[in-house]
This record gives sequence, structure tokens and C-alpha cells, in this order.
Amino acid sequence: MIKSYLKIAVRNLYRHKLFSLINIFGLALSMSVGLMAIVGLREQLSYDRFHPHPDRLYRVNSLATNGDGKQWNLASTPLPLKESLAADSSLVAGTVRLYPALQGKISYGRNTVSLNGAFTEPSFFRLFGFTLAVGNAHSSLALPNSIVLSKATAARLFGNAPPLGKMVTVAGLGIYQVTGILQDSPGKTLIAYDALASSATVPQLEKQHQLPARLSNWNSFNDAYTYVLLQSNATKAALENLLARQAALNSYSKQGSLTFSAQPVSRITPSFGDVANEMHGATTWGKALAVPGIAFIILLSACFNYTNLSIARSLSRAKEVGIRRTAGAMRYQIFMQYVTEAVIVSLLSLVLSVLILLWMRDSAAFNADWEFVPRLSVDMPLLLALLFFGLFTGVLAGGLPAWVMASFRPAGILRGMVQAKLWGGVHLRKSLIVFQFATSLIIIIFLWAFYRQFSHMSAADPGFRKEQVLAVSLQGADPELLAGEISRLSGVESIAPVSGSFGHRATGSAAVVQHKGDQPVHFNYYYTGPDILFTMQLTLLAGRPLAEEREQASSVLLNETAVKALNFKSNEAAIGESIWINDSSRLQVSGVVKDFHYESMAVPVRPLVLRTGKAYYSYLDVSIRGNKAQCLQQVQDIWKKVQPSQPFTAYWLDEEMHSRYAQRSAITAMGYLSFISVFIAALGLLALVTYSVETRRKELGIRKVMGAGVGLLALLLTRGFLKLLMIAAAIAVPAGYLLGALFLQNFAYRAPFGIGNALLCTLLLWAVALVAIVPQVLRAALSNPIKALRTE
Amino acid sequence: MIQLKHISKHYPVGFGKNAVLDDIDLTIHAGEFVSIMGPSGSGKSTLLHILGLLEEPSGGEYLFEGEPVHKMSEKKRTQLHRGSIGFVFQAYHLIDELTVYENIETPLLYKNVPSSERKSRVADVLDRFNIVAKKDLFPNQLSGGQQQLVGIARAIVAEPRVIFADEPTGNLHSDQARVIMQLFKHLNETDKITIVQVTHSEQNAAFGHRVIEIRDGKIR
Repeated sequence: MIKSYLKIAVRNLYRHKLFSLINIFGLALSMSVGLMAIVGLREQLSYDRFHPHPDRLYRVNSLATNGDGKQWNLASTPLPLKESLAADSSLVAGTVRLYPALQGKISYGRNTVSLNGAFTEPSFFRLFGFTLAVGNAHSSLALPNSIVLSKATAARLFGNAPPLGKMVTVAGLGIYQVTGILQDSPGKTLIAYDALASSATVPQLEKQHQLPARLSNWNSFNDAYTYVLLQSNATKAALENLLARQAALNSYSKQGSLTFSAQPVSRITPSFGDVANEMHGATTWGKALAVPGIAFIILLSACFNYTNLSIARSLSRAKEVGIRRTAGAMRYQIFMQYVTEAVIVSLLSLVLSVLILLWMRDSAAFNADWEFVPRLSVDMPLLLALLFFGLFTGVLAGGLPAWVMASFRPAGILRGMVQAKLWGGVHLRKSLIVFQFATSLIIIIFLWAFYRQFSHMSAADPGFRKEQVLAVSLQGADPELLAGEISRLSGVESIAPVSGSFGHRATGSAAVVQHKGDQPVHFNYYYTGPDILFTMQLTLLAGRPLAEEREQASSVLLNETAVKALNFKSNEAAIGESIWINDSSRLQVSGVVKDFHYESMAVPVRPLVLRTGKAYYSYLDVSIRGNKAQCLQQVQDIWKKVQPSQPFTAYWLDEEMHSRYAQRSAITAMGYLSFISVFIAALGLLALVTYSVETRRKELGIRKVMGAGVGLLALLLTRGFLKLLMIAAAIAVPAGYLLGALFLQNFAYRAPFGIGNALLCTLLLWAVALVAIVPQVLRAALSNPIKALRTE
Repeated sequence: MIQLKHISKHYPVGFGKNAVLDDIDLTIHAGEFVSIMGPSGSGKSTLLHILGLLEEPSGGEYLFEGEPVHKMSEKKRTQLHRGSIGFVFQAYHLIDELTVYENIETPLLYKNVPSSERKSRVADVLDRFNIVAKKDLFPNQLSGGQQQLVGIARAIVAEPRVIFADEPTGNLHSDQARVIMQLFKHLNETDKITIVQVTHSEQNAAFGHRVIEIRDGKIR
């Protein structure tokens, strides 16, 4: 039986090549998006699944409430929580704390690399599924000043030399002995650090004021992550009881309160609702389901093509249904036959879509900024998911036509009485077309807003010099030595060391107060030298530039916003005043610079401190005049002399900013989505026009014989479709415009986006639609009427 | 075998109704060869469709082999289509995408006949109708007469007890028509299959035992 279905299906596909191609290709394109969503979602769901006791391992989250009743859900917890939980050994089998204060730079000899690390305990290796490639898991993190490095970090620091026992320096945090190398994580994880240092180091760092005092501070709920492994007979409820007792014992300050909750480690991402201080890589269900949602809409659109075409063509297959019914076929057998056909089409499309996906995975355009298509690992669950997806799509696309076919009554068909009233009939098909075009148009308008915004930001003036500025990565080289050498080049105007380049993200953020005990304001900061004003052409509104570090380490520059945030009456009033940063360093304001966009243009300018700190410099910003290529070559030659052991890394500030603002991958991705949706809609339209022209050939022939002109006939055929396009535009223009405007609300500096933009997109879509309609219609209108009439 | 009692059929037209069959009483015995004749629009095709369970009468009773058809479920009717009833159509109605062999095989597939038996039964029928050489051709590669042969082959392959034929020779010229009619006569005499045909032609009607004249929805 199934063999007979397959035979008919394949022969039908082969006979109606155009329709088959439209169906398969349209479905394949949309399924490629669906596959992307499946693969992406699967990746999101695969975080932290390799730990040894997944059912007993929890992370503790905080819920902080301030005096005004405002609440924050935080992934982080105060540092002392770990010890007080560990005390209850009847309930708790183990605890581990991750204190990610091990930040900055790590160096060995002349090699320096940036570091994202955490302080933790030996229990790390017992609670989590991580292992050491080299070293002893029990002892490697036991002693103070021991450090375990990731394979990548070790390779960058030591090359091929054996790392064990080497002494490395973490800027500002002392010297550490390497006691182990981490094995690569067995699966995706949120706990991804370059290095882990022993917690036993922390007390001494706090004593020496290299780290703020946090170990016994219950108010520091932003700083660390606490994990708990329960005893095998303990319940989550018991743990939450314990957490409630801890919260009651140690209430967060007078103004607010702090409570804790336990979250299974395997359910951290995706989460319901936003969690502040979440680890990098975590996402919410809302975000995780956004792409599948869009994919589903596009898939639906492609399925509609199949449905539409199949219903339109069902009349020509009605005879077959009638014969089968009189030969003894039950309704469900007819239904199954046509669903099988749809499933065959969808499985063919699935194969094609996998090929498309593989192409996208390897295509640079999709992968410029981030991994658009995650690396696939093909295994049984994935294959089953794909197969299920194929079946699902087939049933989705073919279910309705199959049902329509199965409900035909054989007598009517076989007598030649065509059942003109199909289920829903023409209205259904028309609304499907409207849906497709409206969705496409909404996507296009949104993409246009997106594109306009990012090209606007990349073209806008950030308030500092970005042309002809080369950022040279220091990688441990001495900034003064290197700057001295480079400044001798003829084209170089000015050089300034910086802890990070402007236009992206500030080096860090710190709590600033004017007098100890004030309500702190969070300022962003960069470390830089006095020449920054000239190199980046910043405008000094009041006071003097930064002082050289060796003379006076305590001078800082503020921006205008910072001056306002500290409630100084004017820029001049701030000069000479002192401010406290992180309650530990007292600094004096030497000048005020005009506001500039040191962060992304997407956010408003926030308070900024520019301060000196040689240990924190990461780049030399070199402003030049004249030939860029020549200058780059000269700087590179100098680098080879000064720092031969490390590769030369530098970029032009304007190019780098442009590529970041241009959002090439995002625009490619969205461009692909809108291309697919437009293409599918156009295919659907093409198919329906072709079909309607085919079925009206006789009518057209008669009209032509009666003397109708080509123009009149073309109008007759197109009028209905044009009306549908109008309706689609009437729906999509306001919706798309609203969506675009909402998106732009996210940005502090917005591109102008009027309703004209939406209308422009509409015209574009109409043009595409006309390309689908016009040739078919003209061919029909110009054909010889006798041909049509004779074949009848 | 077939008993109609006061069968009527009407379609709604506007606010009124259009009566096609009116108070038909008819008995057809097993082994008969009956021809239904009448002018166009007299209701003979409708009568045949009702007999063949393709349409339901608006009123009256229909007993097929003693069982009341109007009380049967859809499933039971399909069972009858599978086992007891064969159809032959004026326009042949072969499935264009299937070969001669596959077309003939179709009713056996729905009857769940095992593969080996299917093969032998289709082969038998092909042999009997002398169309073995044509078994891999598609319908559009055959002449009208040949297509109708295939149509009849398909109707009898499931070994029905009755064949309903709706102007089986209507699209054929007279030589082909005679061949088809002789085949029906042969099936009726040797295989004891009951045959009910609708026809316009006196000649064709002469092959049967009995003629039922129908005019304006009534049997004369």
C-alpha cells in the first residue's frame, strides 16, 4: 500500500516539475531556518549537563529588596554564605564558591594575556564534572597562591614548555604557582574561566587591600556564586529551609532585605525571567524561543504554499480520489496517501535544507561577528529531531489538503460534477497569501529600521577622533618603551596608552563618592596617559590635563556627565576637588572633558573617570597623518624589535568601530530571513498565478475571440492579486513601522525613521510580487486563443 | 440480490427541489444482466449511483443481499465496495499516474490481499483479457477500447458479485463496443457476475436479459 502511495507521489512530483520545485525549494529554505533554531535551542538546553550529581547540585540565587521595595533577582550571593551553608553537614554534602575577582592580566616573563578567572576551592573538582589534564585535583587548589589554567591560557603563556610549577604574575593580585591545567570542558558550560586560583589566597589579598573586604561581608551580594551539593537523602525543600534561616540571620542592611533560593544547575539556562549578574552565555526562555518563533512563522509561510497549491490542484486529482473510493478505499486511507505525499516532499526539502545549513555554517558572511550557526555535532537525538521535524512539516503542510481530498464524495467527482466549494475555498487561499506578504513586509520594514540604525551609528561622530588612529595591542610590552620608539616615526602625531579603546566598552566601573559615606554613583573608568587629549582630540572644558603618573598618581579627568552626577555646580567648580573610588583610593580632579561616546552609541553617555595606571594599559592609541599602510608597516617593524616573542596585533579604530556597528552578521542573518520570507511569498504567488492562468485559459480564449485587448486581459488576471497585495500592505505597514519604532526606542541616538521608509519597503515588495505575476499574465494574454479553445 | 422499495431522490434547487427519481420499485436477482435505458436527464445515472452506494436516496429502502443499505455505516459500505461491487465508467477513469498493472492491482491493495496472491490474480486477469503485453504502459498510451478493457479488468479483479457499468461503451466506436459487450456477457454467463449497465444503445441492451426503461424519474 505504502509502496503504491510512494509511486504515485514520486510520479506526480516528476510530472509537475514547476510546482514540485516551488514546494521543495520553498520548504527547504524555511526548514533551514527551522533547523538553525533547533540546533540553537539544543545548544541552549545543553549547558552544564555533565556534572556528576545533576539532581543534587544547586546554585544559590539572591533576591535583594531595597528600601523602596525595588527587587533584583541575582545569580550571585554574598561570600560568607558558603561557609555557613557548609556547616550543616547533615544536609549539605559539599559547597563551592566561585569568586570571579581574578580579573585583569596574567603574565609569564614577557608574555601577557588578558584573564577572566575566579577564586575557588578544591571541592570545585568534586562538585563539578571538570577534570585536570595535568595536576592533582585534590591538592591543586588547596594552598594559597596556587593557580590552575585553561589549556588555551597555558599555551599562550608558556608555548610548548611544561607549565607545572611555573610562577605567573596576575596584575595587582600577586604571584601564583601553576599547579594544574584544566582539561577542556566535556560539554557546554556557564562556568568557563581562563584560570582558577585557590580561595585560600583571598584573605591575604584582602589584608593587603588588593581586593576589597568581602569575605565576611553579607552585603556584597554582587560578587560571588555559591553552589551546593546536597546529601543524597536531602530534599530541595530542606535546602530552601536552610537558606531561609541564613537569610533571617544575616539581614542585608537596614534599608532592605536579602533572601535566597536554590536553582538546579542544569536549569540555570534558559531561565524564566531576567536574572542580574548572570554568568556569560546564560539566556532566558524568551530569548531562546525568539528565533524558533520566527522560524516557525517562516515555516508556516512555506507550508501555506504547499497547502495552497495542493488545494488549488486538488480538483485535478479529484478523479483519482473518486476511483480509489469506489475501489474500496476508506477515508483515512485517502488522507494517509496525501499526507504521505506531503511528507515525501518535506523529507526531500529536509535533505536540501541540511545542505543549505551546512553551507551557511561555512560561509563567512554569516559568521563574521558571532557563530550564527553553532558547530553541529550529529548524533542520534539530533537525527531523530530532524526526522521528527520533517514529519511535522509534512503533516503541517499536507494535512489540510489531504483532509479536503478525503472528504470528496466519489459520486459527484466521477460524474464530472466538480465540487466548486472546497473547504474554505478561495477565501482561505487568499488569506494565506495575505498572511505571507504581510509577514514578509513586516520583516523587511524591521530589517530596514535595524539597518538604518546601525549605519547611522557607524556614520555618526562619537566625539573623539577615530580616523587615522591605530590601536596597538601591548600584550605585555612596556608602553613607554614602545611609545618612545613609535613616536620617532615621521607620520606619528601623538601616542597615548589606554586600558581599552574608546567606542566599545569601558575598562571597568567603580563606585564613586565625593565624601566617604555618601550614596555612591557608579562611574566607568579607563586608565590612560596625559596625551589622550591630543591623540583622541578630546575637548578639555576646564582645568588641566592628567598629570604624568610618576609625578602624581592621584589626578583624574571627569566628563561633563560625571560632574553633574556628583552635583558640582559647574565644570570649574569640580577642579581640584577630591573623590573616592571604591572607598579605597582618593583622587583629585584635574580637568573636565566634553562628553563623548566612549561606549557604544546605543547607550547614553554615562559618568566617566579617566585615570592613570601603568599596570593596566592594554593598547597604545597612535594617531597619525599620511599613509596608513606605510605607517602600519613601520609600527610593525618596531614591534618586532621590541617584543619579538609575540605576534603583532593592531587595528584601525575607525575600521574596527565600523565593523562593530555595521553588525554584519546580524544584518546578513536578518537579510537571509527576509529574503526567505519574500522569496517564499513570491513563490506562492507565482504558483497561484500560474494555476489560475492555467484554469482560465478557456475563458481567456473566449474573451479574446470576443475582442478583449491584451491590457484588459492582463488587468482581469492581475486585479485580484493586486487587491491582496494592498490588503497585506495595509496590515503590515503600520505593524512593521510600530515594530521598527519600538526597536529604535532601545537606542539613545536614533536614526530618523519616518513612515516613508515603510512605504519604500512596500514598493520594493510589490516590485518583487509583480516580477512573479507579470510574465505569467502577459504570456497568457498574448497567447493564441484558438489553441486554448481547440484543446478543450 | 438487489431490492429497491419506494426509492426517491431529489436535489434542492433554489427554494424548491428537483425530483430526479420518484418512487422506484425494482428487484434484480443474482446472475441477471440488466440494462437501464432512458433519455438524457431521466435519472438513470442517479439510479445506478444509488445502486452502487455512491449516492444516498432521499427516501425509500434499499436492500443489498437482504441487508438494508440505508442503515449501513460508512465502513460497511466500503467493505461492500471492496468485496461485492465493481464499477465500470464511461470515461474509463483509470489513474493516470499508474501503469495498467498497478491500476488493476489497486482494489486488491485496499482489500489487503497478500502480495503473492495479488500477483497471480492480476496476472490471471491480464492473461484472460489478452493485455499482458500492455501491463507496463500508462493509460494515456492506450486506445479507448484498451483503456476500457483495463477498466473492466480492474472491476472484476476483486471478484465482485455485481458490476455496475455507466455507459461503458459511450466513448467507444461500434467494433470496440461489441467486444466490450461480449466480454460482459461472458462474465455474466461463465463467472455468474450480476451486471447492471446504463446504456443509450438498443444494441448493447440486447446483450442483457432485461431492460428497465426509465423516464422522468419513473420506471415504465
